[in-house]
Amino acid sequence: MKQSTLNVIILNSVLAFVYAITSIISQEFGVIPPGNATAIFASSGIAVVAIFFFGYKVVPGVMLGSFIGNYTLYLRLNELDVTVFSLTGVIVAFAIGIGAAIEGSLGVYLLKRFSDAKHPFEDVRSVWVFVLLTALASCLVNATIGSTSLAAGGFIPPAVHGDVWLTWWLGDAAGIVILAPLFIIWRYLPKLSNDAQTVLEAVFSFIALMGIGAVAFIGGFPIEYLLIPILVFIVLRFGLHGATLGVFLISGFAIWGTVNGNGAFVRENVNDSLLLLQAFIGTVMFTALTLSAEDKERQKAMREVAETNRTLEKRVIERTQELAIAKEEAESASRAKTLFIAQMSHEFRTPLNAVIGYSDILQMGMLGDMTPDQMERIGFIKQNAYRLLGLINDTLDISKIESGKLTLDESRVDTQHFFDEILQGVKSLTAKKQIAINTVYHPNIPERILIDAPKIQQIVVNLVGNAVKFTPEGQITIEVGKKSETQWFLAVRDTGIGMSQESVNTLFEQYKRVEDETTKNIEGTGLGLSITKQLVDFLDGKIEIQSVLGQGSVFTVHLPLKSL
Amino acid sequence: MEQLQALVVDDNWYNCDIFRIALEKAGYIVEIAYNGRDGLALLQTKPYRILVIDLQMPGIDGFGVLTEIKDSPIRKTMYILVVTANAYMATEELDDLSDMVMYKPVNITDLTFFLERVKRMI
Repeated sequence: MKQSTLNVIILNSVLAFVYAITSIISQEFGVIPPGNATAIFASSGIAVVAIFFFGYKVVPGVMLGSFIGNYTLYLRLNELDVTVFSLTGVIVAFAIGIGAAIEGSLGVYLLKRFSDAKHPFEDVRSVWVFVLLTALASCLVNATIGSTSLAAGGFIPPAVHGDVWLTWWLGDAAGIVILAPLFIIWRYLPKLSNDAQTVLEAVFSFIALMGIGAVAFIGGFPIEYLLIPILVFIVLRFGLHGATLGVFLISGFAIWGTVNGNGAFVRENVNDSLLLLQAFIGTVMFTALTLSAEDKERQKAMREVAETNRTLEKRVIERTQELAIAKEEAESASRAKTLFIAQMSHEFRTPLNAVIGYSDILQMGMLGDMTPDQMERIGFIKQNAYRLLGLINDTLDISKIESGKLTLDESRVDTQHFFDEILQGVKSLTAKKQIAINTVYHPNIPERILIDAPKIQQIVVNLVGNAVKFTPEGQITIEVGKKSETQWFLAVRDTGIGMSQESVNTLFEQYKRVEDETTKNIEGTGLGLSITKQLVDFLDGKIEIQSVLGQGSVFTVHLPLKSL
Repeated sequence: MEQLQALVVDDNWYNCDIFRIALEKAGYIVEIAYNGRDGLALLQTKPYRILVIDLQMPGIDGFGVLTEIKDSPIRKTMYILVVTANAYMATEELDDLSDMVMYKPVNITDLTFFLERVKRMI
């Protein structure tokens, strides 16, 4: 015989023995006089606990235990000797045994099927499943089979069949309600912190519980309701362990008292007393379990929230680090780009220096006289070299602006003097065209203003350069004036070819030149205006364009007026 | 009249050639060094009226040369024209180390003008 088979047989035998003993004790002590109905049938609880822990292989033990218990009861009730064989007794006890087996199996099946199979009292839903299905529903089975068997066997008069059925049902249910949670929860010892306060709380709350239980059910002073706050405290402080143990103790007092004719549940009619007792125990356990489950769910939710918070925090930290790295990489890339462009600019300028230098030397006749044709061509070489230089400068400017290297460089300047100097500088731009250029100072412009002179100069030079490009002949005017107490403006007005509104809209986009019939012969990188726009933005200003095709354009830059 | 001496220090042959032509046209006797080390060596040999020097050079660069001669007595009688293609290098430090900074590409008219002026400022 295999070891495991032997184990199962031993297990079943032990269970049968325990079940039978418990049922005899239940019948012996749990009976409320003058009847023979059992108040709390503990064996039904034992059966559920055993099947829950060991599985369906212990069902035969339940059946056997129930058979022994009931056959013994039959013999006792009929005052028969153990040696006497009664076929009726065997049949009735066997039927009840079958009922007990079905009741226990069904109860455990439903509990495991509809709640957390390992931890069936951890949430409110599981508590409902336990009370409604495991305790109440499955106990209908044996109550029906048992009471019917007793009636059929002639052991109870048909008149009390209904009453027996009811007490049987509720007695079995109460046995399950009290014992199953107690054993299932207490299979693990409670994890209590062993600090003095917790221990004191546990000791005093249980002393209080038992004290009140004793007064209510032994002393006969009806203060059962005082058990509720104590029980609530125990549940909240000591969880399911406290709840199951507390209810077990209360039930003990209630059964003891009621059986001995003490306490609020004692009635003339036995069945009434039983119903009150069972209802009380059921209610107390249900309340305790629900409260505990609710508390557990809340704690679980809080743990989840805390966990989520931790995860979030971790993610935020990770993301911040990633961003810092990305930022560092971007900045490093930007620095590398700026350095690269500066280096390239240097590399471009060196050969340009040779081209322009030799052109100058030849043009200045340092190496002998040249024919006018040769001189003109050398002029073309120089023009193109300077155009290339313009491209390089623009690229360098854009790179500076994009890498955020711009710094504010403000100083006080004499307004008219400053713009007159710029005017002298830009006059060379118009040298080859029939263009007059002048400045107009509005009388309200302050004599001295605080400005970033190099940037304003670059803005004016760019705008005038642009105006020259698009003005075949005519007039360019630089206007400077005060717009309000907080703003001044500079405008560059030309009498050039002008632009359509559509062209105005795309004007400041990098590398996007207005391309059409009128502009195809005009040189430029398309970067100049974009640089101008970015410089104006940097100075917290605004640039505005009015243009009429064929009549000319006005570029107006509005800038904050900084008082001295 | 004794001819004035000029030294050009630049690692680019074409630039040296251009400065030599312009300097000779302005009446200087020109010597050329293609790196900072040779430049420093030449500076010890005779009093130059003018030094035209590039900044970015392999080995001892323009800054190195200028820093070396900063407190030397030759500095007192010599004009220093820095010619650089790198606008980023034009720092305030250069103001102390030199008398004039020109950016490449150098306008030869401006250069000639400067050279004439230096010649008169004996």
